[in-house]
Amino acid sequence: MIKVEGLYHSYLKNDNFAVRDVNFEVAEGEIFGFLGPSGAGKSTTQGILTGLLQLQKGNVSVAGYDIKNISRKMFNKIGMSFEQSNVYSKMTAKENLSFYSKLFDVETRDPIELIELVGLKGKENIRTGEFSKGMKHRLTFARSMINNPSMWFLDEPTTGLDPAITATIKDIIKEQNNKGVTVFLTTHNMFIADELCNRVGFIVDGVIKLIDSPKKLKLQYGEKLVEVEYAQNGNIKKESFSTIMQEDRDLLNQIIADKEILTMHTKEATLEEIFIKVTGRGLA
Amino acid sequence: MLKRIWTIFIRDLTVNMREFMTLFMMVIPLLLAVGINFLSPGINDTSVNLALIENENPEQAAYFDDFAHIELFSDKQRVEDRVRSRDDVIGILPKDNGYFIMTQGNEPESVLEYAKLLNVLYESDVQLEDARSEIIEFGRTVPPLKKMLVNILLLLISMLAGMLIALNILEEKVDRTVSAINVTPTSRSAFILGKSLTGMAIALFSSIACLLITGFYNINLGQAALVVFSTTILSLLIGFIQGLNSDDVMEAAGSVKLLFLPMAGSIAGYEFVKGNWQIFFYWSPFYWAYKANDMILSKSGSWPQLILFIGIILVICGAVYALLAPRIVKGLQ
Amino acid sequence: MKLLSSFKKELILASRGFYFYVELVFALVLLAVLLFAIPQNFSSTSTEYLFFNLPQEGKGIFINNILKDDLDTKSEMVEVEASGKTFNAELIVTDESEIYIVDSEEAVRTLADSEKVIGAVIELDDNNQLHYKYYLQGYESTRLKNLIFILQNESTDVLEERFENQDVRPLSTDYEPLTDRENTIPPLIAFSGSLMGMFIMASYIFLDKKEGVIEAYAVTASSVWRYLMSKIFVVLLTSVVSGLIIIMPVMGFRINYGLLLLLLLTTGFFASSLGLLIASFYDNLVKAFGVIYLLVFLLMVPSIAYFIPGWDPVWIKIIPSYPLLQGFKEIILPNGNIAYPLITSAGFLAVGIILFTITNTRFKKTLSV
Repeated sequence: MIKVEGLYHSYLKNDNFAVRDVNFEVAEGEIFGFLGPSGAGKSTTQGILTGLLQLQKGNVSVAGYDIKNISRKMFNKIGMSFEQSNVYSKMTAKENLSFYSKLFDVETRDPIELIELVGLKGKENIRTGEFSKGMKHRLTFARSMINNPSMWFLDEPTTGLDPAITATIKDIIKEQNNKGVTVFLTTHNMFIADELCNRVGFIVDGVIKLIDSPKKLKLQYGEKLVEVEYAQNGNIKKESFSTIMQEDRDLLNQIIADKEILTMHTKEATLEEIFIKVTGRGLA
Repeated sequence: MLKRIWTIFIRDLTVNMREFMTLFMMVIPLLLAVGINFLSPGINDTSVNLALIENENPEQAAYFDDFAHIELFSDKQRVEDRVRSRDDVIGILPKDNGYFIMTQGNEPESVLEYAKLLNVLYESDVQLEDARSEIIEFGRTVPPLKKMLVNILLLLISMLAGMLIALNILEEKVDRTVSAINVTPTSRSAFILGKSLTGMAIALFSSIACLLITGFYNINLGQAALVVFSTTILSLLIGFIQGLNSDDVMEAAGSVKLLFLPMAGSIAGYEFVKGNWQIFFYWSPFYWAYKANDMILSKSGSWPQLILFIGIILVICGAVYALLAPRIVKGLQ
Repeated sequence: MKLLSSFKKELILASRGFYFYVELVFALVLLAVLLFAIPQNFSSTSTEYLFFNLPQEGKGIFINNILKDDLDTKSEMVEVEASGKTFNAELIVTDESEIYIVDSEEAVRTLADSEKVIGAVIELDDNNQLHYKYYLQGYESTRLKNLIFILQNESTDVLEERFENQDVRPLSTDYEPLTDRENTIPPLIAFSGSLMGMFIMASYIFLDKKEGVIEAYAVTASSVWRYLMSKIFVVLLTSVVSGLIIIMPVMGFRINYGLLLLLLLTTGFFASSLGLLIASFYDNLVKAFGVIYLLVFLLMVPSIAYFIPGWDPVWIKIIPSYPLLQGFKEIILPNGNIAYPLITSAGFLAVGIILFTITNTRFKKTLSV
């Protein structure tokens, strides 16, 4: 669905590149996550893929269209949810979606249905200028689905949302993906990437360091340990046990049987830990 | 493409109709047109203002009333007080063997001469009934000043259209919605055309309405519409560039306000600068628009002339567009 | 001291903004227009087309009479075109008019119609009396038409003699008229200098509102009035500088700059306070601007009376820009009336203080404004 080869982009049109020699592919029906700290080049890459930034060097195709000579028809297949919500503050939620739907040549979804889907039921006739930041963000997200895109670009889709709404958004993304929608997700939230993405790409300073699935990465970089907190003689004790060594396994079983377990965690590596290990930089 | 242009136009129109500024921009020209109707008879009737003593010589007062505005006062002191006031009022007061003319001393010469002439005519007992003259009129009822004010109003409407466009573009900037539009099948041209239509529609509507209100209903409205259209194009261009390059409403308004200067200068040049010197205003599309409007409002001139003027306006607009196009395109990314 | 430091801060902030410089550039452009586009005196020569349908002798007398006023006492044979036709004419140029003497009534009618100027045919009637036929456009006022009607009833020589002997008694003799260029200055500095304060103040306030500065101010020890006043000072500074930019190159040192500054400052204060008051009623710059524009249009009306002395209805004098315009005029007039601008300044200052007090109260009460 997306093919990127030798992508370079410089805002100053000199040797100072925001993205440098980026290569990757996204298969149809995949959720691909682009992980990186602020300024890494995520938005730049996404901007080029969506035609918002001009392609300077490299070969890029999206949904079968060559980005070098963008056809406006490509946008019938694309949906984009922006990190910073960009709805018309002087129009109501419903008006925003209705207006937007008329800009496409394909069949579009019912604005009310989308508004309800993102939890804005009852707010359809309120001007978005009166919306909270989270509400605007949800509307922006809803708008990105209006044309039933087969290629869906999501830029920080859960930023600023509370856990309940975040869960709703994640469910929507999964549901759409199950229907065959390809998702290109940029985020610096590793939990979202871990939960949703089939594969993630790590990008730092405009260069892709690594592309693989979260599961494989965790297996590769994680430690096979269980950490247990339990009560003993009125004190709280904390110990780690290997899940490979038989001795530790036996001890662990005994503690589970005899003691009051307070907490127990597997010591898988988080994506953030893997990211730091691989790139030497944090996600923040 | 047409569908998208229409969609953008309807969106702008709907939102603008909720906005005080747009309604204001539509209503103000109409109010000004009514104001012109109200003011121009009085302005046109600019004879001279005379102050006389009441009942001192009613026959004289009645005589002067046929030729000047008369104000009557109870005594000489009141007349003197009136003459001393800020405006140009001439007193005609009795003396031993006739009348003298009281002035403040700073009246324009033309005003004083008018008053002297009237007094001479009165003293010579020159009566309307004895006139040896005949007046034939060409039937023009619109005074030049009214025509000038209406012409200025038409240019002002074009400016307001530009300002409206600037505000609309600014709204897109502030809401960051240009990028949302850019990820739809809407092309740049469709976006630009769609955003321009509101300004144009309002300019055309206001112009035709103002022409009708001020009594210019038997001119060639089609010609007038063409001139409005071409002048509005320039305003739209400037409105676009200012909307895209400004960060807030005041900056956009301030920038468009600067356009009032070449507009006012062009009007002043056309009205006051003699013949060959007008060549210094040929660069200004407002000059040609004013000239074209003048021709249309006077019902003189011809289609070839009008097409020439409009052509010049469009060529200048084209040059401005060529200059500004990169900035417009950049701002829309 | 707090006020002074507040003013300095506002000045620095303003000088980083675009709007600060727009006014100054505007003033410079107006100055350029004043110096290069507006002549020292507008030439007011009129054009007339005459046809003498008289015996040669009679025609000769009339023409010789007119020739006396010609700039070089010589006429010139020319051709004039109108409506696709060409006519021969004898041109006599006086300091007030260009008189074309043509050789047919059709020429007079065609030229007067085409050029929209006055035309006249002088002929003899059935009683061998002189008869005058005037071609007018139609929009001339009744009073003017009446005057034209009777102008020729009496012999010109007689009228002229009586005209020259009119007893004119001016109440003051030390008036010197202004040139047309100088006469244009009062409206320019009134609007560019003083009244612009309305827009600028509203703009600054809404900018600060947008950035939350006013609310921040409310929770400090500094009072709101100091904040507002220091903003006004900045606006007054630009008003004064704009006014001086326009007036100094044209008038030089001939005028009383003390009075000028006083009037600029007091009227600027009035306009700024008014702009502030209007801004306090709206949460939105666009709405406030709408009202301000409306006010500006109203304030512009007295400038019509300023340029057309004969039109001077009473209601015009109530509009604040009327005394403003007249005040500036008195300042630039040689031997102008000093009392008038002084009284005008006092009036604007008083009203400005009242408006400022109301505004201050409103801003204090409605700080979420």
